[in-house]
Amino acid sequence: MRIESRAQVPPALALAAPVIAAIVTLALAAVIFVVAGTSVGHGYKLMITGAFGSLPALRATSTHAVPLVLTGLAAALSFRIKLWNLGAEGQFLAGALTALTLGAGTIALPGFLLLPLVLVAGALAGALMMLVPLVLKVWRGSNEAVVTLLINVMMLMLLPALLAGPLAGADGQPRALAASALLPRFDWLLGVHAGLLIALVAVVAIWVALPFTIWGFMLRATAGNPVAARLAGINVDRVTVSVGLVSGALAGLAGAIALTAQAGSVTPGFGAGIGYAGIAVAVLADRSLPGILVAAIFIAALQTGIEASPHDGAPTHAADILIALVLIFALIAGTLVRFRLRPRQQVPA
Amino acid sequence: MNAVLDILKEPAFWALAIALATPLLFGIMGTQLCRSAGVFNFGAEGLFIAGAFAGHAVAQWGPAPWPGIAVAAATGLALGFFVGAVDGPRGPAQPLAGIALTLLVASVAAYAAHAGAGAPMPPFAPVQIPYLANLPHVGQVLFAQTPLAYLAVGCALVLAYLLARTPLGLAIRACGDNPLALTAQGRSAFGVRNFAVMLGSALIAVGGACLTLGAANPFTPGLVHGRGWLCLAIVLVIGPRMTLALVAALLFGAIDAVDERLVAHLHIPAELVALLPYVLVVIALAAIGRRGAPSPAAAA
Repeated sequence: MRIESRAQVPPALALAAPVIAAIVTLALAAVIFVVAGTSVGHGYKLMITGAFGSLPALRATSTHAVPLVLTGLAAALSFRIKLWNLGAEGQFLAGALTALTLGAGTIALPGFLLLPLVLVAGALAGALMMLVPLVLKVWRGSNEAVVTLLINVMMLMLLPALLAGPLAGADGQPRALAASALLPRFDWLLGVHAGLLIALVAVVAIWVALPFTIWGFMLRATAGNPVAARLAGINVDRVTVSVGLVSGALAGLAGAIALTAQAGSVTPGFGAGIGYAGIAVAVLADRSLPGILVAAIFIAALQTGIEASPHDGAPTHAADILIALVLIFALIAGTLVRFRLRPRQQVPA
Repeated sequence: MNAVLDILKEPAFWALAIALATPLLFGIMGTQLCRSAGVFNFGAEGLFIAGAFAGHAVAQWGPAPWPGIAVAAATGLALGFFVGAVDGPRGPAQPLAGIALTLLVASVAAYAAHAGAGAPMPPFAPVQIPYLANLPHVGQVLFAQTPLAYLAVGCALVLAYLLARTPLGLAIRACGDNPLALTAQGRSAFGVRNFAVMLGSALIAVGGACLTLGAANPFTPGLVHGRGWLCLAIVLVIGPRMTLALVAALLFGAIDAVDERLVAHLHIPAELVALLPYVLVVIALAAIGRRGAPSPAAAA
């Protein structure tokens, strides 16, 4: 037998790769149950009912999925043109902090005006976070992946200082969101907040924009072959900047929605890991935009399911392990399907 | 201002700077080695965490801290195999493979650290080198460090010689510049690349172990805090030169030392001083421009 690379991956196999990655990850969840000292079957049963078993469970899973859809979309869009925006974590925080600044009663506006303002400002803050990496990439050829990661670290370092300083109220605690800036919840939506609709609209908008707008065409041309796109008269740098800004805005919007979805404030660990989980969502979805919804629900179900199941240690860490595993397996499966085994042929003399 | 200068003149400040530079030096040279072979190791942050955790966990059992260093290096070798093996034109993009590795290591270490509380452990004690430690001014700065600092400088010298002057070093650099030329020579580009990436990853993991074993820090999920990403950015700026690695590590070690001692005199918030390394490296990236871009093989 010899290994050779395929010219094209069959669609069925491309679809199977993330599914297999998800199944292997779920199988490895058994290790967490064993470490926690429960029977494996019982652990899975609790995990499934915790994620999908009841109306509150479904509501929790959908609520977890909303920011994941947006950060997943942010990652998928930028990865499409090989723009490695790994900074969704920092953009998410920037969006949430901006939303908190405007939504904590600093501006006296009725809710139907305040809420859109808060969300748009959050998205703009996310886009703003991409400005430095994009300018450095286009102007100086710097590696945007490294710069976005550095900005994540800086945001995490600044967060406690911001919460204790500019964002603190009179009592020294971080200011809380005004009630008028809260996202409404709908009964016909399982009681999930309106952010779900915004996330769906964002996915549909990108889904329509890619094949049917000039921007989408330029994006796809740049994704296919940047040199050919440049020779065809497309300003690849401008496409890169616009895609990067939209990507940052989506991650910032995710932060603003996560904040306005619940009463309260930003805490030091707010939204930790949602930006990085978006990378897993994008890789699992493998270039498919509807796939982002499925992948986001899967990862949200991992989070809510592990919270309900026996786990030794903090639930977020256990969920983070599964998210990292599914990302690794999706990358490995996505690589393996590009090769095939073929019986060694006799070479004619 | 005079108070600031006085502290900068103290041997204790520079001794601390060198101690804080040691993990960075390991991280920078490990990243440089990987990059020489054409792999920009985005797993650096994860390798730092793996080394810090493994070193801490092992040192809790053993009487001497050296087994912790050995296990950290072995962990780095194993994780480096993943980074090297999946690399290639048909594999996942380097940033994705690296971030995946980092997320896995970070979450597993956080989970394990949460499950088992850290016990006190024996750190490395400073070793006074006979006669040299008694030199005026420099003696207590350069020759009264932990063994890790001497090990780091020794590794840097060996690595510089290996890359510049040996056939193996030539093969590693060829692997980064033109893997096909290596294949044409009859050598396995896959093998050479994996060797270099595993060795580089082991060095980065030892850097992580320095964070816990060099200063008796218990492992916490936030301990590494971006040092791996910082090393990546530093390597983008300085390229493959080992002398610059020493200078950069010392510079950032000194900034770290400022962080702990001078804030009171400088009248600026401690948070801003903590941000300084990251701001500095981003400015340096902007200044260095396209020279800092990865080599063609690394970009593929």
